Amino acid sequence: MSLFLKTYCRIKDGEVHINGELFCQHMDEEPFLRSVYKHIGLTYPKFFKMDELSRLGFIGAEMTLMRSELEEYADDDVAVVFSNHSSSLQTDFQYYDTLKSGIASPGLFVYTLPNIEVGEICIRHKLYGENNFLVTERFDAAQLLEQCEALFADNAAKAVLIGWTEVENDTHDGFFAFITAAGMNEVTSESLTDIYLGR
Amino acid sequence: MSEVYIGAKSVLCPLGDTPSKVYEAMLNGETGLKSVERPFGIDTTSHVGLIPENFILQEHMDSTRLENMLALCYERSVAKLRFDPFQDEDGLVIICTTKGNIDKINKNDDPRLSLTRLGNFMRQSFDLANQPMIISNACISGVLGIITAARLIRAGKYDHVMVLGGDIVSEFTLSGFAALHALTDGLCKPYDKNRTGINLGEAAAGLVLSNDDTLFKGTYDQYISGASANDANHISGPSRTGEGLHRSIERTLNPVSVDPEQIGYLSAHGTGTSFNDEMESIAFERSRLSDVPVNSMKGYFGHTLGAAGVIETMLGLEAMKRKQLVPSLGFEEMGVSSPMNIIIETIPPTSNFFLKTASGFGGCNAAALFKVG
Repeated sequence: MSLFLKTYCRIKDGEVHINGELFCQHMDEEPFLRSVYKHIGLTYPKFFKMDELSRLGFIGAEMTLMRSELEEYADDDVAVVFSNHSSSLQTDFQYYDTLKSGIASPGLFVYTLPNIEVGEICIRHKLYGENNFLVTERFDAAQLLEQCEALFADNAAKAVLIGWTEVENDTHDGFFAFITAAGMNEVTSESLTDIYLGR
Repeated sequence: MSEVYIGAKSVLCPLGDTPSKVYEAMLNGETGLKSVERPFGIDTTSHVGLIPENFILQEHMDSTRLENMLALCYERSVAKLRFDPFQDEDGLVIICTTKGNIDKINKNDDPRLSLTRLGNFMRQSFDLANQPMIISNACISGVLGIITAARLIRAGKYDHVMVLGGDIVSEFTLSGFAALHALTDGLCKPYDKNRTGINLGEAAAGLVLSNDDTLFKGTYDQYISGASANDANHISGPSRTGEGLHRSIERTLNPVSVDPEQIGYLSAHGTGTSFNDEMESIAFERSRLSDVPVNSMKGYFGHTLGAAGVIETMLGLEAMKRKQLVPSLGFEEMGVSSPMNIIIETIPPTSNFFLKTASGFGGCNAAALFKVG
């Protein structure tokens, strides 16, 4: 089965690239993702309640979906399949610290599941489609595209927003791609890996 | 579309360590949930479902409790196959878990905290050809694992997929649900008027899906269809309209032209929280499932998180095979606004179609349909 790449976004080292072109850089005093949020002029107060992993996913989805002609799809035709290596571990530690300090934070506990970022994206873009969250050693284009193929073959989706979101302290490694069953720009796991690696 | 068969059940839970033992304990109305004085140091009177230590064998010197549980289920499921297909390229193992080895969080930077460690452990222990896939999608992880397995088989990616679900009870999860005020005092009462929350339980369970029915030594059933759907509404509160659950059921039944009236048994999520159970009743009514015999298994061994979808599907298939559906333990008086046909005494299923559903944080929902016998 052929798969096609509509739009992609790379968020890394204080830079946001869309379809290979620099979109914005970390310039000001604000934390990186907040400054991107401001740069794109969003008004979405929930953003400030999210943990860092969800913020990364949220911004990446925003950048990618805005350029993917989302309105051409029914609200349950777009699946969201995300992946990373550390699951929600950074927030797990933050939650665990609140527990050890005496008052466990329910607000943080909710974010101790990696698929919460997928939920945030579905809320923001009103996506009622398929979800999945996979944990892999490193960015695994083959596994993500295999999921796209399996969803398309089962008529469970017409497009898939795939994502890789890794957060460690203030460093981010985000990659987002809108994969379709029909289109112009054919993509393979090799070509997607090259894009991720910036080759 | 190729047929997908499902069988080779294995389980490890507070009620027992074989599917028969667990199912028979449920038939006898037993619960594996017990009162524990300050479980894991958490100030709660909520009962917990712990696996007896003598059920769990140490796999390796440094293997964790959860890894031992997964290994045991793997071995017991494989023992029900004519050969072990997972050492070949056309076999895959999927591990469904929410928190993995979260009991190791007290030791900062313990590498066992990484969920990929579970996959590495299984691959090394059993000489697996492919790196196991890890699905961590909250409380639908197990059902989603089964759906994902079937789709991969139908897409021609693998011939045989084992789905293992596993989660443990820990200080981390127990304290979190306590902080959310989601734990019940004593025992949970899914769908009951006086329900006040969940019990946490731990379990591991295994099922094998395959396009080859000769793989199974014993009985097997058929996977028909499945789907997941998001509520697109709230990350921790269930949708008031049951939107995602309703959509996941519609997208499971419609493509295979099975009417809701044809379903003989519905194994629901039924956590025992006010909002979850109410949401389900609304979604089931919208999906025309109000008359279908339905239960929640949470009263027997608690909410087992990422394992729930696997263990509950496994026991639902067992109940269908034996033509005896077990009561929804803890239920006494109707406590949801939309009608449900909750099982209060052992009854036979009304057809051979079995529907499993699950819902979880992140607004996720999943449904899967099976044909038994």
